[in-house]
Amino acid sequence: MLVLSRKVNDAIVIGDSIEIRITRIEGDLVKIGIIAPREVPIVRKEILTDIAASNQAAVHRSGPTPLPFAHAKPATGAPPAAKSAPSGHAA
Amino acid sequence: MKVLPDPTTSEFEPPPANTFELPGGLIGFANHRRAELLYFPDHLPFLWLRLHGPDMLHFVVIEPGGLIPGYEPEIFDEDAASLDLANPAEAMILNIVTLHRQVPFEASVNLIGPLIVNRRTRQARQVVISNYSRYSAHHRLVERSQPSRDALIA
Repeated sequence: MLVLSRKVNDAIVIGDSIEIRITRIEGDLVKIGIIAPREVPIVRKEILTDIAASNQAAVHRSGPTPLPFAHAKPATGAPPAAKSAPSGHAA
Repeated sequence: MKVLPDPTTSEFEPPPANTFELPGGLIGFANHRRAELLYFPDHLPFLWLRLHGPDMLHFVVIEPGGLIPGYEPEIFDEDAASLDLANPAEAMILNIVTLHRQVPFEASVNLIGPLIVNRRTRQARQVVISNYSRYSAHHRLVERSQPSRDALIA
């Protein structure tokens, strides 16, 4: 892994079209601005980790099994909001 | 792109199996790139997703339309483009269900990482929805105000 030291407002460039800039540092929180083409997906890593873990927990390796929903009905409440705020493209 | 669930999609008369390609596999299962959707009448509205790769894997999935109130997934433009989706009607949404010890109350559904299938091209990918902050990867599927556990187990 390449490790670089940067100060506020310093940036790094990846390839021809991705720029990552340190916009603010508050204690252990670093705010990062990202400029990238729209076709480059940018998501927080913990989201992918969460989905990968969910997939691992959901897999059935021995084939279809009976389901425990004989008399159950889906929840009717609206999905609860998650805790984290979205990330996105800066441009 | 908005990919609103269509409540009418649960009223289908599907063939015994539908196949589609998953060029990127599932997240964490990158080498499983061919999929079948299996319908068991006594399991509906739940479907089984069978993945072919180094080994055969199965997942319980649902089409969320009419089942997850308030669920309005939106996908990034680049995901819509990579799937060649011309309009939302071409997209079939499948959300993966996790069963925990066969207890209905503990079953959850992943709302932030659905599979999006282009019905026309039969190409699919698991995406992170763009409005993921509104939802959870572990949304409880069943209300707790249900009959006793034993009565719920098939």
